[in-house]
Amino acid sequence: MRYLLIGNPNVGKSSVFNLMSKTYAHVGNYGGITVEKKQGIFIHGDLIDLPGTYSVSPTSEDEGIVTKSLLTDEYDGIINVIDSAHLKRNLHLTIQLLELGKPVVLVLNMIDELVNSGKRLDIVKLRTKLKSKAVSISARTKEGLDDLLNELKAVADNQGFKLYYGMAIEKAIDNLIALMDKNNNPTLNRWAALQILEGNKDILNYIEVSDKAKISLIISSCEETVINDKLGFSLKGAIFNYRREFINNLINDCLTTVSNKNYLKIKNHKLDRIVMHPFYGLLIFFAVMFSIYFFTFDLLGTILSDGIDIFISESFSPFIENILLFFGAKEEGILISLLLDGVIAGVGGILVFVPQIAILFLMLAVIESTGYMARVAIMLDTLLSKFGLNGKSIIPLVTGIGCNVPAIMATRTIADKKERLLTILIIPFMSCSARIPVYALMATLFFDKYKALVILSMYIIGALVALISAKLLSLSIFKNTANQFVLEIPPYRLPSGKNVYRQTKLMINDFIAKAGKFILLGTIVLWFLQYVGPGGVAKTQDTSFLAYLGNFFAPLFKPIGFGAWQASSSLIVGFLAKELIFSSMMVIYGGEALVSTAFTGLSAFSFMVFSLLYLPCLATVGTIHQETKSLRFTLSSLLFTFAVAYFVSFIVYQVGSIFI
Amino acid sequence: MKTIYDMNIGDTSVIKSMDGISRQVFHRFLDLGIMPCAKVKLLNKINFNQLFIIEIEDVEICIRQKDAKNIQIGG
Repeated sequence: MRYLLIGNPNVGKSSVFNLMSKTYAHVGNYGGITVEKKQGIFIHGDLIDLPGTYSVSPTSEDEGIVTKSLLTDEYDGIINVIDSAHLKRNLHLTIQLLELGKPVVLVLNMIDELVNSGKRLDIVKLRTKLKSKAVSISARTKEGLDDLLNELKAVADNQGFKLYYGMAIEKAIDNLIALMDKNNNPTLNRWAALQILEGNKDILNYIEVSDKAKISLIISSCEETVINDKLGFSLKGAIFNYRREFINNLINDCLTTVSNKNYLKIKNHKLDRIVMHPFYGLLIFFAVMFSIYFFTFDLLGTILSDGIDIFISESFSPFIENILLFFGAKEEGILISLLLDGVIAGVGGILVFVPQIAILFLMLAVIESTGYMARVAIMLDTLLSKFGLNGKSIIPLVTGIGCNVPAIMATRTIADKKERLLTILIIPFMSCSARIPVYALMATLFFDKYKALVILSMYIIGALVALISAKLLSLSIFKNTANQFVLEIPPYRLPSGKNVYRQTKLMINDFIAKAGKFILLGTIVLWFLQYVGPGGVAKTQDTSFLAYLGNFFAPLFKPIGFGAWQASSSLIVGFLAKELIFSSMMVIYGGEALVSTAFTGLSAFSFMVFSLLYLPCLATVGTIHQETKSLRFTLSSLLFTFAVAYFVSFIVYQVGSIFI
Repeated sequence: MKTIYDMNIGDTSVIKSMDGISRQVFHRFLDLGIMPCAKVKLLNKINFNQLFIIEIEDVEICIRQKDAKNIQIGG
């Protein structure tokens, strides 16, 4: 059995998905967390979690995936997750799904919130009226889960839900069906016709229509009638009105108010007034960001990381050396060099940062699940619109502090294409967690007293460069954005400990897996390139392959303070993954001590700035290409970030040289 | 005609029409429940009246000033 999970944004689809399957999907309290298909397995088969959408007819990139899945995926039924507390709006999508003719199971989620607001839902009546299976559940308390699983054992045939749309629209539907393949399922043809009338252009990619020119004629003549007869302000509006009437009657029949409870809401409004206040709100936002930073770098994270560092360098590494010596490995020999100077220095050095990164992801997960991010988007909308961005851009930008890859995917919720591309272009300037190791290294060696401040400055420089670039680009290449913003404000919710835990664990596993595979392989290759040269085993490092490669690019980096081949080699391999900048420095320089002699305070700072801003990592570049489907845009973004990094580092180093 | 922009915080009214809103935004609004005949309550004006927080059908929605000026209300 294979089910598609579909519903409005922020109704808890991913929570239902997580509840039923062992696979974990990212959950948060605002619309647009799921931006692509995610597959999982549950006891009766497969589940496919799809992005939230208000209607089958898409208005943004993530919503287009739903139409495609409905028409091209192989599935036995649809699970339509509904927010019980907002039935009126949720049922518009339900009608569109029922009209498709596939078996639908309605999952009325958040039933506890409905009950708490003093209402009762007659689910038996709802089933009868909609001619479909329906179960009420609460993904948070797991109430109703067994009933749901029971209903999903087998699919029931769709009993043919059909809504009458009035003479004018019905005539247009018939005219459109006449242009479609007669061998198609008649229900599918009717559904496709309705979707076309609603303005869903994607349909034509999947359903064959014989005379495409005739379609626009049918649409325009129907729309004219609809507007003349005052059935709606547009064709879509008229279709919407018929559905609304049906839904209103349905709700009148099935929903009863037992008591009026508004207490919680009033409290929310008061809180919202402070959280979204132009001054206090901004202050709160900075305080939140600063406390994330403080916990990650200054307090807990650093203590834990230092502990692991001491263990690896003072206990683990010497112990491995003793074992190797015991088994007859030569001191200063190839095996000891590979394992200690290559693998342990490179991979172990990265693993040291696991506690810090865990804390960073944990705190981001907590914030996401409270509903705070939507408020930040609103509070910052006016400010960000001055930079050609959109309030919604803040969500990917903050996600970028964790990792740039999901951040770029998160831009799918930005409906305007130009605003979306602009956001994608500046995300790499947000300092992701992979850059932490190189900051920590340089800050400890050169700015020990002001370590926290220097690392903080990287985040600030990154954010400032992002904003300034956005402004300049919005004045030149990205002129005339649609400039629209409308956002549903989710209610505040307490973070679920289990979700926060699972999300953090997932990110940490990714980080460790990357260190275990990619970084391990990288450090071994790096060590090899450094160990051998054109003339066989390199006598000194300067004659190794790596030195040749580094030397080739080194002159380029001279004006920004680090013209040695060691530095340029680190940056080259850092393109593969930003953690490799740190790992390769440990391998090439052979430890922290030698790094400290190779840089001055100023050149170290310039190096940090350059590492922050230059080229996004390979995975990010891949994601940019996948999301924009444009090689030109992808290459331009590489060139752009490199140029900006060079420019800023140049200013830092040259202006700094005047004073120091 | 009065628009959402003219409402005071706490006022409740009914949307009469949405003239001047582009087609794309209009359809987005429909999806969110912002439509003629809907009961609307103004919860807050923020960022120096740049953004309007409204409540429709128990859902809180944030819209920009330019759209608030294009949603006519009455009654």
